[in-house]
Amino acid sequence: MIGGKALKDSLKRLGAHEGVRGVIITNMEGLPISSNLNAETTEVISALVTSLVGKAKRVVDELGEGGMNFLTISTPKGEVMVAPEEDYILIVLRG
Amino acid sequence: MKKDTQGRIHFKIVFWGPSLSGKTTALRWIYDNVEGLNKGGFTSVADHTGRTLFFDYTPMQATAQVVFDVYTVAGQRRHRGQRKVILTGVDGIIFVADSSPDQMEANIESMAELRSFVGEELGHSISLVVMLNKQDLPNAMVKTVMLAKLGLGNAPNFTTCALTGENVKRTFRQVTRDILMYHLYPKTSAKASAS
Amino acid sequence: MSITVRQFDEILSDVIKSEPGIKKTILVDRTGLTIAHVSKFSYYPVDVDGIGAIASAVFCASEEQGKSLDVGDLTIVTSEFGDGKIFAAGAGKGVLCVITDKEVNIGMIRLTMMKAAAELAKVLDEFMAEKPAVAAGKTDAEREELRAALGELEKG
Repeated sequence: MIGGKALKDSLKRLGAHEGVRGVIITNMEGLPISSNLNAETTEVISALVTSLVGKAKRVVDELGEGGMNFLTISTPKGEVMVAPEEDYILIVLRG
Repeated sequence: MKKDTQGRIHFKIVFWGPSLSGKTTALRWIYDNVEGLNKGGFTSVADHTGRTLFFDYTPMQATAQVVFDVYTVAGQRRHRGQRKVILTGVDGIIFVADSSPDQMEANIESMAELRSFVGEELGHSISLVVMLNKQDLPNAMVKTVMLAKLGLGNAPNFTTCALTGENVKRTFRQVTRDILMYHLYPKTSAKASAS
Repeated sequence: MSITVRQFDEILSDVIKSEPGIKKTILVDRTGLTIAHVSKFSYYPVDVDGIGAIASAVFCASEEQGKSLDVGDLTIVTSEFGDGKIFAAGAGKGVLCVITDKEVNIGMIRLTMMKAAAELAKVLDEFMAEKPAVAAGKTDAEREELRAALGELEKG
């Protein structure tokens, strides 16, 4: 598990990149651990993206792809980038 | 009185009274011994010694269309908040008073708390029947003295022994009857005074 | 079945379908009376009335606790067990209870419950208006049912 300070630092680093609208880290239960967005938005995004990650994982398993490393959703506003780790999910909104 | 989605009418009955006065014992006795009522499960939130922590609950169906949802409350002083929750939407109360002289203060306190929660409705839109329990004790207090001290001189009452079930069924029948009578004839049947 | 009753079942079914791992949904009023319930599997042997009574009491007791601590309105109570979870959310005059497996998307369940609770609160208001609880103004059929119950009790 990642420590509090390390977490804050990486959030800050990621958030400072150009075009980044938000960074959220959520646990596998869809509950946010850390975020630089407001509480309500964070809660909604965490829940929905975690749900999507669960479904996507089932898809790659079915396809025999050997697991999922990364998920990108391209949108008119830009991108939703999702990095599923062992215990948590990193979500970055960009563009 | 409530109607559920199947159109059945529900009435809520609560056994009230001080700690260890016999509320759960009385409900258990009814559950185990009274025939003719179609009983559901018996739900109990109690500690490992069997003392009620929150409430007991069992639904008892009188006819296909009429159900009595019967609850007890936790009697210990610290469970005041839980008692208030269980009292929500009550139609009839069985006040279980403990006949041991050293429990009289606890009876009075419990009754005062009940009055503070339901106020004027007690004995009117909320039926009240008093159970003077543990009358089999050698030093049991005299019925009229107890009722006077509780300010319940006019309320329907029974001297009972919840352990053996003596008069428990009659008490229960009285409260169900009073509730039904009140709902059938709301103006004339509000007779029991609890002030 | 009236329209409002069907609406309860529809909303509760939608909650079950919304996320994997939800086993049962129960709508109970604040007096402990179970109003509607839906299970994922047709055979799920639980005493719904008992579970509903506890769900309502636990939620309302937490609410009381919140009042005395002055921490605002209560939205959801979550109970986590070794092999499952129970959620209870306030739904106007009722409480929405959701029983799940251990591994679930809590965030999603929270969102779904809050949305469903708002809908249920509205339907519950209609349902309660449809079935007035006042002593006066009973229908003849209701009076007949009460008389029948009275007769049944006199027998025992």
